[in-house]
Amino acid sequence: MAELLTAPQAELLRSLFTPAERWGWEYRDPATVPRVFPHPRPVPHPPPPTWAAELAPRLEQAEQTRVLLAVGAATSLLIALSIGLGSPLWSLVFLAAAAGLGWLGLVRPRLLRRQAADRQRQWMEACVEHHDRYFQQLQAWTAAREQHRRREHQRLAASPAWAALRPWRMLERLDVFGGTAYGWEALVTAAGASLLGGGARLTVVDLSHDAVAAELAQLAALRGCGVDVVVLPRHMEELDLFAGLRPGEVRDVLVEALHGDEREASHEARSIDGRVLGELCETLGAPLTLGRICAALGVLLRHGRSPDGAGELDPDECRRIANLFGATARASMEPRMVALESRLHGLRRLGRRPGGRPLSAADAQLRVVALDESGSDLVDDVLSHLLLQVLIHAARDGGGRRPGGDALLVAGADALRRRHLERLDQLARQRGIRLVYMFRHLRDETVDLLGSGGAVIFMRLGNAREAMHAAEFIGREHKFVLHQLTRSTGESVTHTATDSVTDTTGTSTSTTRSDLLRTFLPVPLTDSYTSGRSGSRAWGQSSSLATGTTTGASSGQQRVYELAVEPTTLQTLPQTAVVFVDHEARRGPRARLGDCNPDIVTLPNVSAEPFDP
Amino acid sequence: MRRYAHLQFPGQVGIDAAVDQLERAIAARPGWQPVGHTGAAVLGYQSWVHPRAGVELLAVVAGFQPLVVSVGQRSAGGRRRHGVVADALGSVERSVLAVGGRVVPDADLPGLVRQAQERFEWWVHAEHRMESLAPYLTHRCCPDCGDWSRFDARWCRSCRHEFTAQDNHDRDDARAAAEQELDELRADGLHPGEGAWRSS
Repeated sequence: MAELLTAPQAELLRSLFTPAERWGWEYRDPATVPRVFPHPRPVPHPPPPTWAAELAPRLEQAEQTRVLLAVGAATSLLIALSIGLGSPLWSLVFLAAAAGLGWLGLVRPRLLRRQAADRQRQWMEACVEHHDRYFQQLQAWTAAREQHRRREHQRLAASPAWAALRPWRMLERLDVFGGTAYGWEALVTAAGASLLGGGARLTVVDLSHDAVAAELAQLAALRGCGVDVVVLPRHMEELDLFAGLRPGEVRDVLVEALHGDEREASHEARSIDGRVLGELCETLGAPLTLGRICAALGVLLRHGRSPDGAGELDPDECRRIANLFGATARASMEPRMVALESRLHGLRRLGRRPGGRPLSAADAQLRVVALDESGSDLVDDVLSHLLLQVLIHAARDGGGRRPGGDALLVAGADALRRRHLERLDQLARQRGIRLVYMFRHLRDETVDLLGSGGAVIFMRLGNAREAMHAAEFIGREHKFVLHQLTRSTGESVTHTATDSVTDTTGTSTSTTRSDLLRTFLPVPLTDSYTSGRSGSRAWGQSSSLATGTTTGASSGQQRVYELAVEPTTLQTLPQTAVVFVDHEARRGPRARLGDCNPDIVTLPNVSAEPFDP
Repeated sequence: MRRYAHLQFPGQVGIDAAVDQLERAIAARPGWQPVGHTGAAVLGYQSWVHPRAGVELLAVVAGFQPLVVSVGQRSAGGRRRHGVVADALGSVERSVLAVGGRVVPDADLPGLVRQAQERFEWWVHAEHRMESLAPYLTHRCCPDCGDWSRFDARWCRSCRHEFTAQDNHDRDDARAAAEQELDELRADGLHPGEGAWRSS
């Protein structure tokens, strides 16, 4: 069948059947922030124009003194010509001066400009050389930055948004509480595919009547895994439930199964049942089926007079059974025999067909035993316990370990007794079998089981009390919440009115005497004397009005200890959502929200590994 | 007769625009042809030849912020050549003055180049700093692992560290500080790409 798949379908199956165990996927925001390239761009350091600092003042000075020097040269030349031959020595001196000044005023600036041009040219060539070197540095930096950006782009594009949910301790039991049929089917598919992908031999005991392993069985068959499905009661007649069990083990299985659903099973009844069933199993030959056991009970109850089980038992067996107990013992045991016969009557077709198949095919990697909805509740109850007891015996016997290990998933374990579940858990732990219990509800005995294994998965728990149990188990945490909010508003009005009258009187005298001028000028001494009186009166009235408004707001936060997950959240979870609670060695208990919808593997950026392995 | 000129472009003119300006100014004079295809915007220098006069004119970038370009005759030549060069230099000077630039005297050149160098080094540092600060505006940095998560994330997306109230305060402080520093950098006139080399 696997050969008929298209490439995308095969790829999808490959993604689903990953070798790493997974119980859904956890979502995380993909990374969006690229890491900054750590190196800033290189900085060019072109050679500084030192020539300009050196030559510019000289050139400026030469330009500024140029005219003055030219005038000086011309003047010297004129003087030299005017004194001419009269004083040849002085004439030569002035001629030399004129030549010197002329050189300084006319030639030197030109030479300096030429020198500056040469130095500027040399400097530009040095800059060109530097720029060539810098260009190479810049190219290398640009290439490195582009490479960094490409790497970051690839990293961000490949950043997983979904990663597998996996228990911290793989060998401990995992319990699932709550959920709908659709959600369970999704969980069994997602988890079962990963277990099968890892090479494990998976046995699914589906007591939920919801065919939760149907999708997994179909996909496993497509993948090429060996699949063996037994649906009860449809396949009841061909199922040899006790295949490989000795008579004493069949007795134990039956007694535990029949008394397993009683809260306070009577030791006396258990003992009598054990005695009766033990004798019958030892007396009956092969094959040991429930039909033959029921027939044997019928023979006992009818005191051998009317062997109803003639079809199931041969006459020799009927005779031996009829003689099993004495009259007194049989009379005292008769009520238990009636009870046993009544309980097992509904299952008498089990294994009736000769050459029946065992509970699970040895060569199948996925083995599914499921109860469908057609069976009566009475029969299904006994059958559920019977199946569990057979599983316990199978676990006790161990058998050959597969390289990928063995896994056992019991869906709909609500009806099973805690004592039996714990016994199976113990055996599974000793034998290294991966054990998973799935409970529809979190109530009664299942509450006591909560946390006794390893990781726990909560799915939708519609019942408020069950959701509260789960929330309590997940735990509480410290939070900061707003507990106080204060707003204040104030207004003030100040009105001030003032009347004032001010009287001011004063006298003044002044004397001026000028002695300074007398020192320098022949002026007479002058004195002046003045006096005055002044007065003023002012009437005033002032008023002021001041208004002020103050507003304030303050908030206070309080540290509270509250449930980490509110019960209402658990009550309203989507069908395939899971709250995965695990006790990690480094962090202690931790709840993570995930989703077990197998369609998630079709999304981009789904990792088969957990975010924090 | 001038044989070279130093030109300062106004701050908003980038190296590409400056080279275009020079190209247009020299191309406007008859006989000048650019040498090569790689312009100064990439290499940091550009030259033109005047085949008839047998003279080559070279422009090199001496400073980047502001952009300072020195233009001069590349090879020594006679008086006739100087006339052609002086004509091109005049055109270049007028062109730069027209866009708000200025002609830099020799005496001012060393100081201006030093300032332009210091400013460019600051710009490079600031450019890198702006790039580093940008994520703080929209994301938060985990104090444990240093990876970035959404700004309002409750858990670190990498190490699942649960952010505490103190972490949230630190996050808000970090954003406020980043905003303030970015505002200051922008107020200092940092415009990405301003006067910088073309990096690709």
